[in-house]
Amino acid sequence: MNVFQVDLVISGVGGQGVLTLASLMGTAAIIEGYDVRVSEVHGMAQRGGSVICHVRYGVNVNSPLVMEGRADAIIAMELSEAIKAASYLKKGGIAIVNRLEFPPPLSTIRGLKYPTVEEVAEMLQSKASQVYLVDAQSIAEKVGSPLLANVVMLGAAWSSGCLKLNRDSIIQSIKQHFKGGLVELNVNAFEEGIKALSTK
Amino acid sequence: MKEQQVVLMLGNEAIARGAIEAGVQVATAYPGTPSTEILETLSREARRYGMYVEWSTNEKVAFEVALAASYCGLRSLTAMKHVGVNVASDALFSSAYTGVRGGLTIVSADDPSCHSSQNEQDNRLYGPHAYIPVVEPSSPQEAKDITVYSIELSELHKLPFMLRTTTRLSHSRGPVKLGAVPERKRIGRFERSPESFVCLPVNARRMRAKLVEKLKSVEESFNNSPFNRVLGDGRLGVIACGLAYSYVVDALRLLKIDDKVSVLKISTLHPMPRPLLKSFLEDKEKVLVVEELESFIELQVKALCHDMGLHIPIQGKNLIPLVGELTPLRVVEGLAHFLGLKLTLSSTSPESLTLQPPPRPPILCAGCPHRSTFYAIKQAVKRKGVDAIFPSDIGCYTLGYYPPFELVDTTICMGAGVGLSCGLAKFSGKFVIATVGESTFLHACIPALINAVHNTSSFVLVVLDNGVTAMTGHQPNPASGYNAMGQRVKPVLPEDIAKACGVSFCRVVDPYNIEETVTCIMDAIEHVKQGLGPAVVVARRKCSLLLLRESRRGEIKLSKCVVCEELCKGCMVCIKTTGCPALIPRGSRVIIDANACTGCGLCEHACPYNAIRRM
Repeated sequence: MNVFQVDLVISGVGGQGVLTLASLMGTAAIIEGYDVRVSEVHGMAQRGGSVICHVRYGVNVNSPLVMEGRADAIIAMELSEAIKAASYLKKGGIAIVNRLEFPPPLSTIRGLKYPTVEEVAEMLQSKASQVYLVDAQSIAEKVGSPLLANVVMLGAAWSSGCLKLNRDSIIQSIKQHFKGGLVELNVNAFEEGIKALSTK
Repeated sequence: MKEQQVVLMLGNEAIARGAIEAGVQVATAYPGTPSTEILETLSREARRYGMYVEWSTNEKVAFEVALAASYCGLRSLTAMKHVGVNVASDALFSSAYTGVRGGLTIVSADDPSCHSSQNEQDNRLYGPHAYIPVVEPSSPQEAKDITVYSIELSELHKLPFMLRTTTRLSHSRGPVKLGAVPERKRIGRFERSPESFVCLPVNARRMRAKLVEKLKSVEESFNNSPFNRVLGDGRLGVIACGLAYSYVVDALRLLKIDDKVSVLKISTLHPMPRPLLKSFLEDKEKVLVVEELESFIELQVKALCHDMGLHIPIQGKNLIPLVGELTPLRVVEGLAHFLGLKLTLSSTSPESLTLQPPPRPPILCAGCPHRSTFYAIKQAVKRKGVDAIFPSDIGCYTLGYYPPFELVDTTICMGAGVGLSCGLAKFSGKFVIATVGESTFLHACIPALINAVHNTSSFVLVVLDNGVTAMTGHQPNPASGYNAMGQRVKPVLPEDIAKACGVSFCRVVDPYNIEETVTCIMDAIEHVKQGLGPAVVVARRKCSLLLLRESRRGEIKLSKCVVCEELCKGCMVCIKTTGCPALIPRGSRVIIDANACTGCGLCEHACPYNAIRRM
């Protein structure tokens, strides 16, 4: 028996709004009446370090963590951070990656290699059925602020079909999370993210 | 938020909500990941629910304030990270002896895998050690419900209760159905009863005997706890607690054997309800205990089987890892081994990927004043030509461990940097320059600094004062000038404390004035070299995350650094000497992320070609 369940892993760099992105999905899933678990990263790791967040929802969810090799989709807010999420992706899953390249200062200091877009895409294609590269940063800037890139990625993820949530539930979730003028900005960012994928 | 409403809550928010529903009137804490959001949530809600909330100077004081409230008949809660309980433990042990009046729960947030900590100690062990009951929830909903349960039982049995959570539970969200909030408030009153509250030997001997009896009656309550339950009725048994239980349930479903295995989910961990365990064990062929960190339950189950004359294999840490937190995969593997199943899961461990991600450890934020201070320390040491070592402490500045600074030689526990400096200054044969944040300084360094003066240990102590406890999310501390209730209060400043401790060199500098800071640290080094005792430099500048927030709200205007393209030679010296994340390599040049830059000017100072300007 297959019970409805969605397992997602979101990765990025501390400060990119990964937690907000995960929380928006979690709230939308609650709105649809699902059981939900969202695993977050707080504290020291948030200071410019790698952040990885797990989101699970469905009929009966217990563990807040997704098992390696079982995520329906991964969403990466930064190019090289997609590699960290990739071990969670199931064969035939979906990968949505923000093209942003942000080499860690430590790798510049130590002269370490930073992967190219082609390398990351190729690695993901070996597992995923679909790989989407999104220029979330410039879309966010056009909407009003680079800080909206996370919600642009939410739109792209929704558009890919991996979320299995209603568009209205996500908009309602955005309305619950933000206040005042930020609601409109975030809704716009979400809509632009949807377009970014559908126009490809 | 209304009764019966279902809200997506963080485990820690659920604990806070539980405190509100339990009628807790006093809540205290010292911030520490993964416990911080409990008091943060309560401090936001304090006024609405008529609650007193404080960020205390350290965990021991936090515990004592909550204990005092309990002595006065009020329900109270105190929250801390696992190592914070070590700080509070002196009072904790005696509090079991005196017992409590109003219900008192101490939340211990453990950190398996050391996500944000110096160790992965298992605080369930405080239960048998300190004679306090321990409970552990396994979902955000239970986190709320068990908080209420622990406060009520604490009051019933007149014992402080420990609620143990872990990082993954504290920091995971799940749906929580809200309960009612009691209307009635109690008035605190201390009734004198020295024979109950004075742990003189004559009283303590009697108290201990009573304590042993109290724990027996707690065991009876635990035996009927609604939070312990058995799932399934197979003859293969699994016992699990905390989040390990959630991994077990998902794993059994995945392995399609949920009908062959019987699972005992246990939330009352000390004292273990033996009758319940006995009835579970009786008909089992073999049992696996799945628990995070130590073999706490496993050893008790083994002892119980021995007492029952039951000869069945009890497995646990031979199949479930002792080191690091549990994950769904680790539990699936352990269970499959226990059940003799072959795993055919298509999992990929990170090692099997062909592409390696560049390491991205946490770093000091762009414009962090600590970066400027570390940079200045490096310059001062170089210019004075001293052979120095660098004890440090716990906070954002521990990240000075990483290149390009590498100015953290020791980090042990809160405040240990100054105590170690007292010894290192005498025995290391090196010059000692210690760093500590103002919150940690006020938490645990004052007796050590007095010791330095009293026992003539000479070193430079740089207090990095950014006005808040930043690492855990900007909680106020005594130097901040405001408190958890949002009141303006008189700030307690590190330089005043240092002076009062008898330190004769106490100076305050702004680390954004780089040359001034370098000179000041050089003067401090000279003071120590001349045998004039310890020197304290307070490097004071507001946390750059707060500066950025204020500038985004239009409250202040920050200058920004920009790279002049024609002058930049692409030598990367700015990145290599400051490690600032606002500096981004682009081809053979560097660009500055204007959204992150606070205009601290450090890169301007570092650039050998004057290619960076502050605008």
